[in-house]
Amino acid sequence: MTTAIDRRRFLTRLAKLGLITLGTAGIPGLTPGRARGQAPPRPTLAVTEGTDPAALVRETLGKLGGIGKFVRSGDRVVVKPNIGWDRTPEEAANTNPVVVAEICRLARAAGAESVRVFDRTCNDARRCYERSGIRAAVEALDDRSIRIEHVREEQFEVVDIRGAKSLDRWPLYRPALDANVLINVPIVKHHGLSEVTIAMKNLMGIMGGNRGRIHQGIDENLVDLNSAVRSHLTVVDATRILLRNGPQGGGTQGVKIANRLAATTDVVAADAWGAREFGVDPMKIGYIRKAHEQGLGIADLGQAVVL
Amino acid sequence: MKPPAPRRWVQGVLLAGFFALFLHTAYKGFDLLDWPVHLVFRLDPLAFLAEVAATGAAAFAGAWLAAGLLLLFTAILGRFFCGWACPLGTALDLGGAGLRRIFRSALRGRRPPRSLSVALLFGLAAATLLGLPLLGVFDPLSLLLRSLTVFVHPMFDAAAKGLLGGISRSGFPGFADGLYDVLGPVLAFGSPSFDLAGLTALVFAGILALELSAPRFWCTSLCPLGALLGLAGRLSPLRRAKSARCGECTRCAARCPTGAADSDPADSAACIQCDECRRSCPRGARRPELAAPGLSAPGSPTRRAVLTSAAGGALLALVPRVRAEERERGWDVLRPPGARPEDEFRSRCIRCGACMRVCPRGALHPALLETGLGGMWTPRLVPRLGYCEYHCRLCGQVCPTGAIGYLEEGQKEKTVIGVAFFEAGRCLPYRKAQNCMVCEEHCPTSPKAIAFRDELRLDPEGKERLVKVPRVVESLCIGCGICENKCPLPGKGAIIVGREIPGSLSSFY
Repeated sequence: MTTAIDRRRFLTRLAKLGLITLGTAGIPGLTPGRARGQAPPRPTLAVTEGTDPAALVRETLGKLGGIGKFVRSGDRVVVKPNIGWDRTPEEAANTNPVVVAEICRLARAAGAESVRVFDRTCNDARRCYERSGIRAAVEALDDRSIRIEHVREEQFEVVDIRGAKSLDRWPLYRPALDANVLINVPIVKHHGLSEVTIAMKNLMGIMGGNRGRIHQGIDENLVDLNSAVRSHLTVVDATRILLRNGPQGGGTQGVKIANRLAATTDVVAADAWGAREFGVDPMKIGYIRKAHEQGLGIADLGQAVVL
Repeated sequence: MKPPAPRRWVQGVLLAGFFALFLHTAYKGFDLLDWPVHLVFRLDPLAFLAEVAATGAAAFAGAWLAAGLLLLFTAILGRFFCGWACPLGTALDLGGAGLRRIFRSALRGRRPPRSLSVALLFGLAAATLLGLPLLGVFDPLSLLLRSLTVFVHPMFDAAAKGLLGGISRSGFPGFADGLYDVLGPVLAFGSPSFDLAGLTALVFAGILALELSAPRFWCTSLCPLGALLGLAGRLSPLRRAKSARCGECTRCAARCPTGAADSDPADSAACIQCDECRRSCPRGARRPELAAPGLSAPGSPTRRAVLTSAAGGALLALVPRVRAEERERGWDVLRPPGARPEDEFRSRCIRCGACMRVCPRGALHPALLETGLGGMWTPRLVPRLGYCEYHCRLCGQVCPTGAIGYLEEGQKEKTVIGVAFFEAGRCLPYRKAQNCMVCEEHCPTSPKAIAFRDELRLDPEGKERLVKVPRVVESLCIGCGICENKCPLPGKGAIIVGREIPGSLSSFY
């Protein structure tokens, strides 16, 4: 027998349910994976050179023992490229779409349950996804478990970052925090403020809110962000490097075809390598030096095992 | 229950088509739009009239052929557009029927004065001719489209996303994701919000509420397009007169939504050809018949009424001359890229809001009085709310009148709508000797229109600091406003786009 429920009772129940939901909400916290000051392990860095970006991805990850070393069967993987700008691949403002798609394909082949690709863009997200070529490249894989999606405002969640020196509370993107494996796939670019932008700064794409606010004291803020949210694997796209008018460029005059790619689990080493490819001393870049000094990773590539 | 009249089917299909065009008018991955919603204005003789008032003989172009044909067919068949096609009319039929059922409103009260719409038509036409272009504010298609854009769709979107968020947080994120995919085509991208959303909603709600007083109140008593079509409809040789079979039961008059059937033959200036009189007549006594056009049908505007309305409109056109606020336009009023020079822009814009609908960054917002009395509901670019996307050129494609011109690829990127300047009193590098550079980062031109130099400056404690100090390179700035939009300071930005266009005097006169 079914119990009749009248409108009044239904509404009362609904209200109670709402109150319970509200009551359980609180501000979650993130604790850095490793305490600052503790010596980080020597990083291993795989570097390759060639004109076929997909082959570069396979070769580079192969040197590290294959993507299967990072992605296990059933993992939820997030691939975070730079899709920040309404620019074409030739303009080198966004990650090479071929590189992004190949990483997604390999992650799935290694048994990932799902692969999600997104970025909180600077220009209109639809235009960025479209003109970067990344939407088309990922959708061409034709795999329902590999999804390129736009970030949804309501999935940003204010998070306490424990032990942070500056960025102690910020809305971060829940699906990125929930991933078993976060693969950071930046491109090497010029930047007016920080001189060069690569992996640590690419992680700003999981930040909500008024991100311009972290530009004041950007070095410390980037270290805080990357301490709290670890890139399990960083693949640095230097197939093209944007040398001028960064980080969004425009036209191809400032673009250098470098045909190189590197991968490492150390986001600081990734940035150090990218800075060197760009043509600057990583220890002269504020946030890279700070990350090195605070033990987030190793920027001195002399200490790294380069494969 | 009787099956719905064929008219209901036609209305339903056309309204659905209007919604479909509306939803389709957005960035979908292509720089060129195929079926933009402004196509409906090709049918709109009132928009054509506004364009004639604005541009004279130049308005007689092929693009308006359909509007001319609609007038012609109205002169033969009567106001069938209002009864069968007008999406606002359909929306009012739907909303009105619902409201009347819920509030059990007794309808058999007095009919509203029909002459009001004629007064509005002639008054607004006169004002428009004399330089106060307000016809578009009262155009029913404009009114509906801008209402959809500015508050209906944003509110629907907010409700849907609120619900989906709730489902997701209650422990069913997978289900919510699935719903998101299903609802995708009818949701907005992002969370649109607009200036004047409240006022626009109030106007629409007012028109809807009038349905409680009489069905199709707006259409019979206020709509200037209805009045225009009514003037043409009077020429129609078709008359809905009572035949000898009529038993004087008044059922037709009771069913008539506009009061046209109160008279015999029905008043063809008010009759919207809904056919309810024929369908309701138990004896088949009221059907359209051929008759000689009667120009002095009941309810026709008198010459005196027309002249008085026009005189009223002329007086209205004088109001901006005596409003001190109109002596100078606001320095921060920016127009969309490709907009015609201000005077021409205002007179050609019919306030439909299509540009606001299509703008991917939500940069275009209706003005109230910032651009003068004659600029109500015209679009202005408000950088703090949304900036002009560098490579986007959609607004010029959806403007039904050419108030915003079409821009080619490459031409858009060079179109200057204003120039940015720093407010050094607030800007962080100036005020605190603190690095920021968010504006420089986002500047889309190549080379960037925001340059900087390392300078030693004193911070507020008097300590000397090396800081990157930005400046605007005016010869490169196009006024897109992304700098003002992204400026991280709370409230007002420390870099602001002004209406001044360097190297051009057109922004000053």
